Amino acid sequence: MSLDDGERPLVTSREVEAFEVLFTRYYPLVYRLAYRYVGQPDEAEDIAQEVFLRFYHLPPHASTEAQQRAWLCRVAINLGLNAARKRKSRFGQERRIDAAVQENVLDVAKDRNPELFVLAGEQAALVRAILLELPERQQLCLVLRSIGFSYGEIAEATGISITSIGTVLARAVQSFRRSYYERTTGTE
Amino acid sequence: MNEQPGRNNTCLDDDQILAWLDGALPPREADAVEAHLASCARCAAQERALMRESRQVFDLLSSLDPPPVTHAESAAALARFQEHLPPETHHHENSQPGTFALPESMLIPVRPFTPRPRFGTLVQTLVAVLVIVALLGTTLLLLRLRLASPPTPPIGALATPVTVHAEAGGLEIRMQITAGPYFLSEMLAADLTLTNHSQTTFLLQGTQAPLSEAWRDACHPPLNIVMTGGESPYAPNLQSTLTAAIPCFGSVGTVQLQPAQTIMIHRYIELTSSGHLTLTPRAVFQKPALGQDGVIQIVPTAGPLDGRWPSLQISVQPRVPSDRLISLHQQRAQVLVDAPPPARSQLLYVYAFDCDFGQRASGHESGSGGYWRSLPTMTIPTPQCGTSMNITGKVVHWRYAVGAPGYNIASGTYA
Repeated sequence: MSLDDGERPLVTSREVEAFEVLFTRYYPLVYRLAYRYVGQPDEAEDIAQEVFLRFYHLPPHASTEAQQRAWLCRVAINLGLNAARKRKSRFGQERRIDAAVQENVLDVAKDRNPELFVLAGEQAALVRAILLELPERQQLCLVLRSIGFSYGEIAEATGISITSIGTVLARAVQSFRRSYYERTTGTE
Repeated sequence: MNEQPGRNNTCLDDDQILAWLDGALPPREADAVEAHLASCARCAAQERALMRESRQVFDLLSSLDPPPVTHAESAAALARFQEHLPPETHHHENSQPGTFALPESMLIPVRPFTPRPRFGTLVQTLVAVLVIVALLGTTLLLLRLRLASPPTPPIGALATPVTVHAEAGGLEIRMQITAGPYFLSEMLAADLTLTNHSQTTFLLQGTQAPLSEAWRDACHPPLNIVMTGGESPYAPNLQSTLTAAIPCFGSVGTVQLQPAQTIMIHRYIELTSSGHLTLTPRAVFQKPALGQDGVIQIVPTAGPLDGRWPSLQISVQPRVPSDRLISLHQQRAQVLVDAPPPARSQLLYVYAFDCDFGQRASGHESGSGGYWRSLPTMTIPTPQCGTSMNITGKVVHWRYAVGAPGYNIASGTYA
């Protein structure tokens, strides 16, 4: 093979396996986070691949698997956020959705009525747009908490002091709800 | 402007309440918050509102999720990842086909997850002795309980909780449960503790509960109590109220138990059948395994404690002792609680309700408490329909249950 091969450190199958285990274990989580932001399977997969490539080429100084997971999630959110911002103009036109119509969305989606799937899609676009409008710290905390991170893990992943996580989360929940109800019912 | 009716200067901030709901407060602060919530109706109402609101936000965020990624899809993604690596990395001479070599900087230690024996024979023998001692202790305890459980004269305070314990392969499990007498529709409090004294990281089937679904109401905690046995008479009405009021959210995942880590779970157990019951703490161990299709999967595996879980046998009487009786009285639209004095400060309640919004919305809304929560007064709070949506609805079906550890759970329906 190439000359470079001789200069590369030999790696054992165990180390290869370690990366494969890490990839297989966290790919679904990384993909899910990316998907939350972009809502498109192909784009979410591209982002997830990019996350693991970055991990591969510039691995974080992570000594525990929990730290590796935190790193993967934070990068997935950052890349997802960047991708979503680029396409934000498409979601810029927010529509007020009548509350009663919204309540029907889930029921009707069950019936697989294509027209109402469009409504469900609008609902997702609305939720995504509101998420994107939150300050970045709030987004990070909210999204990480929503996938089960503890306050300590959020603090480690974001660099935010653990004593501030509750405050950031409480604000994020309030801002999110206020925006959501303003746009779905026209009032708070 | 800051003056609000019912608010005093010790009232809790939203972030304190949220952190408490999330189980993120240090024990002393958590106790203080809990004590305040039990005595301040305003903060208790705010706690319920925050719980409901954060759940709504997290439900909305979850609605963005894609369908779950299968193992086959993860494997395909891994294959695509490998295709994109520069040739020199994945055509390494020492590599197996389909794998790749990692740069040195990539060699991050990932803990082995398969439980491996790390103790010498002597230690294993010691562990075995400990297990035998624990089992003997359990047996003796059972004998004592069995002797003690038939109808007992009225007792005031509850006896010291019963503890069973076992240790194997570096793992230590402890289960502490409310003492007897045991009777139908009784509420028991259980504390489960699993400590990893070994150098191995274990994987447990379970879910790290997201916000507002702390361990107490998560459906798939990594440590649970399995109840077996039981016979007629049952408490079917209580059972159906509990099913509606404590619904299951989330799916089963994997939780890590790292060296020197302890998992603590607090659960309430509801005795909905009589006769002999066996209570056993249980966790499902997992490991990564290479499937036939070459895909690494997380699969159940035998753990060091399997076959060695301690258990507690109890005898459940059909009748509630008179000094352990909690009852409910409906007075117009209110439900009042009558409980013996020692139980009054420990009352817990759950509820479920349906709303009717009339013609404004064709659908209906359902709500539930989700977990056992403190009842600060002797009146069960009446649920409200749709306040957050600015649509007023009518409660059409309200189910509730009130209990306390060591006392019965009284349940009812308001239709």
